[in-house]
Amino acid sequence: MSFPNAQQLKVCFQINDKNIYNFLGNINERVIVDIAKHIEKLLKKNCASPAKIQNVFELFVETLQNMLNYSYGTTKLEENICNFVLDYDSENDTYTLESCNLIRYEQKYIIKTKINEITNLDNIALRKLVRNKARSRSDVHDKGAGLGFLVMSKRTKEPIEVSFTPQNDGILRYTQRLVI
Amino acid sequence: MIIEQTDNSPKVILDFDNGFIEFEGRSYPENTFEFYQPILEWLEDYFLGNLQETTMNFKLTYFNSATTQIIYDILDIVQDNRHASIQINWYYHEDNENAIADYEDYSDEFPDLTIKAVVLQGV
Repeated sequence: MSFPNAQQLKVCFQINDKNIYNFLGNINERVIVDIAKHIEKLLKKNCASPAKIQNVFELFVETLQNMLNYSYGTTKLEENICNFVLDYDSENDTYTLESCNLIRYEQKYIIKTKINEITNLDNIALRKLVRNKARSRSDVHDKGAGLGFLVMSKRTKEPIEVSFTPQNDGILRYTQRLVI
Repeated sequence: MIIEQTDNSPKVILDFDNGFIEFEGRSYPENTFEFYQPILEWLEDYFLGNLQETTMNFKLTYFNSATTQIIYDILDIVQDNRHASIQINWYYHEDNENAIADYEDYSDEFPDLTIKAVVLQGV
């Protein structure tokens, strides 16, 4: 069964006056590289600090690569479709990257397990956990090292927020919010 | 063997004759494990019974989480072959706090290896 996911995704995020970049469409490796470069230039132009630019770049790439690896749809239109918005709050010098894509139902439990594992860990504990997992290769799978949420969590100012909205055909709309 | 740099993959130099290994640039290829697999195989072969002095430079300005894993795998290969004399240099820019933390983590995790920090200054 197909449904207008693009429209559903489109209303995923409201564009506000803090928005500096938004995207809705199908992604691939080239699209990720091009948008990452564009966002980097945008932040440099806005005189963001090198550390902030680095963090936004890293979190953007990690998020979009996750989307590329784990997005799922039942139609060609739905494949690798994503929506994301990057907002900037000048008062707090904070960037927010909100993203939304479709995933298989099973992914929910994998993501929730990973998020629960890192909740309440400080940066030192996160770094230690990355080291332990990398050395043991415990979360390695065919699409990656399973370290994405850990690495992202090291770079965010606030805990990663995620939510899941059931769609049809065992698909979930997955949203993620990173404060950088 | 030289692998040229792209927008999302590093330049990789694997010079058997001169004992020189280098990774330079950004590392976030879509299929990171696939990209690095032949490199890991080369390194396994290189260190197998090789006693020559070797320099290994990491000049990565950004790497994704999959590459984080790969670097552990590379350093594991080096550690398993410590009969070879190897100098590892970790380059990072003074402003890059993430790279400093990464350097500390790799150094702490591989205390038997000499990993030297090379701090780059300026733009």
